[in-house]
Amino acid sequence: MTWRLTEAATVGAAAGGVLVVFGTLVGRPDVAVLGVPLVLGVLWGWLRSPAGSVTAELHRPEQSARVGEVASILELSPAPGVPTIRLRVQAPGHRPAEALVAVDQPRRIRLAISTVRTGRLTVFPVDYVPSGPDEVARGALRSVPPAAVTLLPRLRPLSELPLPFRLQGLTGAHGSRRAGDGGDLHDVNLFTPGDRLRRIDWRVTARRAGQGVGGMPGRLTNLYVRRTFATADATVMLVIDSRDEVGPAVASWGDMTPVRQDEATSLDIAREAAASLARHYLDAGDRVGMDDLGRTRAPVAPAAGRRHLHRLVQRLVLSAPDDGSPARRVRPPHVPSGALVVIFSTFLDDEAARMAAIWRHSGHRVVAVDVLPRADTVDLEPHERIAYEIVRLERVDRLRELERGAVEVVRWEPDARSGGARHGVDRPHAASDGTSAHGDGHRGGRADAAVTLAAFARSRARR
Amino acid sequence: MSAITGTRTRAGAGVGAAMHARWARLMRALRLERPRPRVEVGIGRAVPAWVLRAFLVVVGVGCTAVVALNATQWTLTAVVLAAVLIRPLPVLQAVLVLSWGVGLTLATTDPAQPSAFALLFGVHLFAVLGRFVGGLSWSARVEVRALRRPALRFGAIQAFAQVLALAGAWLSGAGVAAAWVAVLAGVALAAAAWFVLRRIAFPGPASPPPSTAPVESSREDGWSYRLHT
Repeated sequence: MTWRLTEAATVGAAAGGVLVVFGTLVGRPDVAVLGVPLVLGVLWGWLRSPAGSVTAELHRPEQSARVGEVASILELSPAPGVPTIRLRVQAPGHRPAEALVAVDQPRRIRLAISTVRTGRLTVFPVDYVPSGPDEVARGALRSVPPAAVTLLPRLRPLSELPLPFRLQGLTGAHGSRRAGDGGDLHDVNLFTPGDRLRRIDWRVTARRAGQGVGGMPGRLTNLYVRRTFATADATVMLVIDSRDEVGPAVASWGDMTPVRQDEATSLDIAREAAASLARHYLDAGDRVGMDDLGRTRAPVAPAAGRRHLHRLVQRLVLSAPDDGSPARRVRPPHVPSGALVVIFSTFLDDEAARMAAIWRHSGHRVVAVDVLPRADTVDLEPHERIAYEIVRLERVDRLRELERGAVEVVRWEPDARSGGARHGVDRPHAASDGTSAHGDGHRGGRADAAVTLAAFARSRARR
Repeated sequence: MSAITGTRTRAGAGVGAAMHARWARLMRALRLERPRPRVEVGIGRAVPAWVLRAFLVVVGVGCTAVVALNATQWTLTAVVLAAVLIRPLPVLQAVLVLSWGVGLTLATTDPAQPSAFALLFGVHLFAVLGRFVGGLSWSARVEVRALRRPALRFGAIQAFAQVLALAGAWLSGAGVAAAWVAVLAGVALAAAAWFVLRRIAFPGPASPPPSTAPVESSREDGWSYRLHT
């Protein structure tokens, strides 16, 4: 490790030497002594400059329990004699932090940023320079490479969500329209081959047999069984539109200006919505699959279980816009028969709306979730404002056209903690009209983020 | 990409439009209300670097007050101090130190004046502070713990220098020839040069290079659903 005198120390010592010489020449000890501490300080610091350096290691960053915080530990192991170190820590979307830190012993320094973004993020590249005593000498500049972290979307509790028009499967949490094994009474019918004996309703059978001729008891000729509605599970396909990612600032839509870390983008909102829906459906025992309009790779096939939720979330956080324009799809991605299709998009172009319309025409129940953040048009130039108005009106027409085509259009409001105001609808609701209610114990309160979605689905069903 | 992507590019064709777009972007940056959040570094009790820089200028003003003779000297020093406040370059600090030495020579002929001792303290403090704030930005933070040992060293060297100043004043009052002072100073400088040259000629052993292996976070292990419920 090479230690060099700093420019300040060199120039300061030179100035001190000049003062000593000048004071000596003019016969002024008070002037000469002015330079003594300058020279002496540099000399002391230089003689005590350490031989070794500092090694720094960045631990793996993690999402901390605090909402929206990513933290890591920088471990500094100094060589003996290194008193201080100058640090510069950076992170995307954040102002770098600089600090002069004492490292007279090994230290663990916590680095943290706050963000509402999700997906892959490369954080905390660290540059550091070890300093000798009194900043007289410095070592070489060194860097610690940044660490990659995957920021997962927050899962918001939901209480009720729409179900597909046609439920499938022989078992599940939902009651289907066909007769079978279940709980709710369907009807009382004559015993037919295949009916279970334990389903015979002896009261009805006896009553019907008792209606004999001439007051004589009837004969037991027909058996009657109680039939119930079968249970079934739902198949849900979540279709995320990762072709575009825009933030609230409209001024940043047309160029490469990075979106602020304290503002959620459309893709962040889509990830949060899709992950929340996936957890809700999977908790109810339904089967959930996922596809991405921006990618042509194989979709995640519908499945159930907690591990599948992990798989879906991982796929969600890795979805990102491709460089360049993605190829236009000739046909929409294949979805299972009878599945509920929930598409998350900004609907800034026709592609997602076209897909939704095709799915609806083929008989699927389709819910279009609008994930465009609330637009911030403050900094727009006049010509940009005109362009935005055109795009906005086209988008409004597009969404109306979807509604006319019996596609249920709802808006997902990001949580306030996610960088946007939440405008959820607080209203009591019940499990009816094609919606399901299960499990989270957040019925009708402010915690219910998808009341808007469910209420809209109900109103559409009534219509 | 959506239909809106590239709207600005299409709208702003031509050099004039490009210049206008750059200007508009600059204006937006100046109007930016919310600053970007800062990376948090968990260090101990710290003082902002701008406080140290302001203190450096205050010390400079104090030193100037000791030796300033007229308004011209004040004006020139104020200009250099303002430059130091904006960017504390070592050369500017050295110019100030030399100007204070020359100013002391012109201001008084009595080496036993209290102002000389005050200036000795101020010049030393100015030089030490200048070394600390030299490479730090306004927004940097300086851990208080990192200033303790330098403060002790400052005290020791300052005590020695004050004793030396007292001795110089006594020798000067006693009528000791200036030639002896020159001889003493020459010996001290020679000793200092010998130490430094020896250090340069025989540097310490080199330390191994630091690890530069990239750090990769594991997606599977770094997350728990419990965090998000």
